[in-house]
Amino acid sequence: MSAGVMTAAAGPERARALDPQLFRIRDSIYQTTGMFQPDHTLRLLEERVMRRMQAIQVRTLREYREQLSGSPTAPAEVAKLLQEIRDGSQGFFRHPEQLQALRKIVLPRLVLDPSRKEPRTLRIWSAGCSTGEDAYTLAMVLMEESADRLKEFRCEVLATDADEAVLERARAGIYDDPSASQLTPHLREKYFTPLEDRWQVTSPVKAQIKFSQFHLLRDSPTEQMKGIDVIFCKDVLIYLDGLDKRRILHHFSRSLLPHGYIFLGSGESLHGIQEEFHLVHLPSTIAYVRPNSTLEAGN
Amino acid sequence: MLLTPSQTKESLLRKLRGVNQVPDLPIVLAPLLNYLQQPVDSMQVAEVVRLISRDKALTAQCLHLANSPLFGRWQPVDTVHGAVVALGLRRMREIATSCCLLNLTPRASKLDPVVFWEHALGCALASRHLARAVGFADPEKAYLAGLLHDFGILMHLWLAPREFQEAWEKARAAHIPLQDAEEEVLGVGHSETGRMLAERWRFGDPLVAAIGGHHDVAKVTAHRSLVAIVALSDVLCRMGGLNHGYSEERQVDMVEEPAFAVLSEEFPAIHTLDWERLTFELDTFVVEVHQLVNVVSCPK
Repeated sequence: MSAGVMTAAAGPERARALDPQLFRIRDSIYQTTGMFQPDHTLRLLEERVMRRMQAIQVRTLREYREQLSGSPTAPAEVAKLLQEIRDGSQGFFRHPEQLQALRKIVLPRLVLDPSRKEPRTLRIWSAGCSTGEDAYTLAMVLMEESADRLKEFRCEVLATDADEAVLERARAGIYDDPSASQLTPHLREKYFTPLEDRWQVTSPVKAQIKFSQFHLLRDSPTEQMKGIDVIFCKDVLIYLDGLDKRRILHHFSRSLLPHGYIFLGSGESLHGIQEEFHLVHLPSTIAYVRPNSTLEAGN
Repeated sequence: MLLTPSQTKESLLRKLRGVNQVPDLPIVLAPLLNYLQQPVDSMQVAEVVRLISRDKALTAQCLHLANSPLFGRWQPVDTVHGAVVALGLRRMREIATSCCLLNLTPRASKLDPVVFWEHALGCALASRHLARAVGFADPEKAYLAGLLHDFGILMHLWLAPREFQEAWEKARAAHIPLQDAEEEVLGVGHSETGRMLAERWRFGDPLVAAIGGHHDVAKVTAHRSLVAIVALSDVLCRMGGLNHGYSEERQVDMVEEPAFAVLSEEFPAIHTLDWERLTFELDTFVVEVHQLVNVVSCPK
């Protein structure tokens, strides 16, 4: 066979090429919101963008990209697109790599921190908790750890949201089948009770959590928001401009203990926004810590 | 009976020094790899195409990679010549060398050798990306250095498979870097054995430096920025799902890595690098590399 004309299976038939405008839309969203979508998620982004284009009657991706920056309605359109992207992203035990990192790296480091004072409490804040799935997930993780690593610790989850209506639903703790998300049937049996065709979080899990209404931008942090070890703040900062992001991060820095961690939603970045926190890499995920708070043990 | 670490090290080094113990490059790959090592400017498209096309399996593998978005191709190519024309010789060199490396990985091992190739390919892509981001003049060289940085692992798979497997199992169980476990079990890490083989196969100084120095960048005296790029990319891959088949349980602040300080001497742009974005982009590599490995690594 002569060189250069030999053909071979060129892999599975390649899907339709992505429109280069989609990459520009991705970059524009990242610049505006700090939320990055890797290449392998761009088909999904394309679907969401198409929905928005239909809604506002825009015909081409180029025109839609222009709607996302420069126009007076741009911030509102970005917010609507983000809602499309994040639609249905609630659920128990989402972002399992974050929870693994919490259990395997963060909690052991926090527990071993020599600067930790008595009484031995460990506090996690779910900021912008919405209907409570993340907050209950964190409470369950802490309960799973309480027999072992956190045996001598009193653990507490603080869950806040600006919207009283979603907080009411969170407090009730009643959900459609929670194992439809990443929750295993074993944990569902352990931490939920059946309630007609739905499931309710058990009282011991609820007892771990303090729900309260709190607007991250308007309200001043209360005493109960001090002395926090870890903050989970997912899908909140992406809706805010740089100034508001910085204000909230400044609040967080006052709430967190010196060794404290911040976890954001998937693909969320604080690059170029602030310098109070350092990026750290954990197995298959990232988090933010204060500079110089990196403990030597276990590194 | 397993040898002690010092006995294993002696035996490994003896084999490395011995004329007949070190495997020769496979017959098809030797001329191709040798040809690909010269400067791109002096390469001939027809010769690259001829060398790749001598082996049907290698041709198929190269086409799979050439059709991957990882190599910038979004429209299908179905001939080696078409791939070289569409992607350019530099990119084709990356692709052909990547496939050669896969074919140098022994198949008889109990370990799945594909995970080592996945890590190599991930590190190559991350190195190219990082090189571009900081303004390093030769991103293709960074790619090749990233691809070949763990060459010593191949050495261990060939020459001490049982002991290497023990080291790998130890690393996986304790979630520690493989290099540390190799030093404990084999008495020598892959960076050292890799350097010896790279010298023997005349890989050239920059590649030898990257292979031998990526775990101890502070001690490297030549090609320091290249070695630092590979070292940082290696850490990113090990933390991000393209490790050697297990995850390292630790926390890394890239700014505090010794390689960061080394790279910042020549490339201050590293101080403003968007690590978050690079990390998220690595997720794309992970997905694409896993998919590629499935189609590319089928036995001949």
